[in-house]
Amino acid sequence: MNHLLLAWLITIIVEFFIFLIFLKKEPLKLFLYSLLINSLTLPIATYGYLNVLNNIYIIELIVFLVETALIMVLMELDYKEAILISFTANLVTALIGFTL
Amino acid sequence: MNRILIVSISLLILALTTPAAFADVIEPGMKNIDSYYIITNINDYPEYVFLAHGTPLPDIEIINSCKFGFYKLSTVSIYAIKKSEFNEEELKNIGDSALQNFFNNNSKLISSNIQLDGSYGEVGIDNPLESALIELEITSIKDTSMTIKKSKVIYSYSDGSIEEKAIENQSSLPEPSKNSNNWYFAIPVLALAAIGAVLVWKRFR
Repeated sequence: MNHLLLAWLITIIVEFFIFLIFLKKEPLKLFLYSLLINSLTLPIATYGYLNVLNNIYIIELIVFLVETALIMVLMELDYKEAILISFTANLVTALIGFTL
Repeated sequence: MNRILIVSISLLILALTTPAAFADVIEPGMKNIDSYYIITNINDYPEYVFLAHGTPLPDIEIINSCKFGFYKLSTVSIYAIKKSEFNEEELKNIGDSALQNFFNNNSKLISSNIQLDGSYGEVGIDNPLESALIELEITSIKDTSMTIKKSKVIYSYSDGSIEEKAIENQSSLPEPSKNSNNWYFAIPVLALAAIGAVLVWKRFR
């Protein structure tokens, strides 16, 4: 549980800063969105990796697609921007995950 | 956009072509759970010696009333032989081929119906399960065959607690009840509800 909690906190913070770098507005709202998005995707992705599909690349791809959709609707962005932000956020957090 | 599509497709191809696991390596984030066994009524058959022989290990192991376990990748068969036909000293100095011959071409050896695995399997590192002890019961010994059934599994957890479950189906074990799955679903359900609330608020503001 501690591993999940730590990964969850790091991901929320890192993705929040990536949202902020791209959008440069309303940091509180962006933090809330990062909290909500990662609270939905990270536990399910972790459970899926450990119990359902032991393939990190496919899990990351699914997370990327789900987060793209959530970024689009929550931040009211077009799909190109959402894809770029989601791809960057997930690439950075995945690299941190692989490194730690 | 095209670049992102190419990267995504490349990741998918990489994912599909990358082997998920290597035989003896535990995946990151996973831990191996050892299986142990005990034959609960072994003392009801004092005229027999019970042996374990597996691939790749053990070559030969005498089973008594204590619990026993094997190397995690082993698949092990259980045999019985009448005490009067068994010479332990002779087997201690036997070579590999003679040992294989002892197990494969020995009319005095009684094979069982059961094969045992050295490992229960892999679970997530945050799973509190630590080991599984499977109770075996000899139901019959005839001249050429022995029947053993799995009667109960006792799961041990990291908090020191244990859980006993009767085994109804011989081909699969009942699942342990304690796991850390609740957190994996409680947080996303709350997040989904909050996302829904945010979207409703955005629509009606």
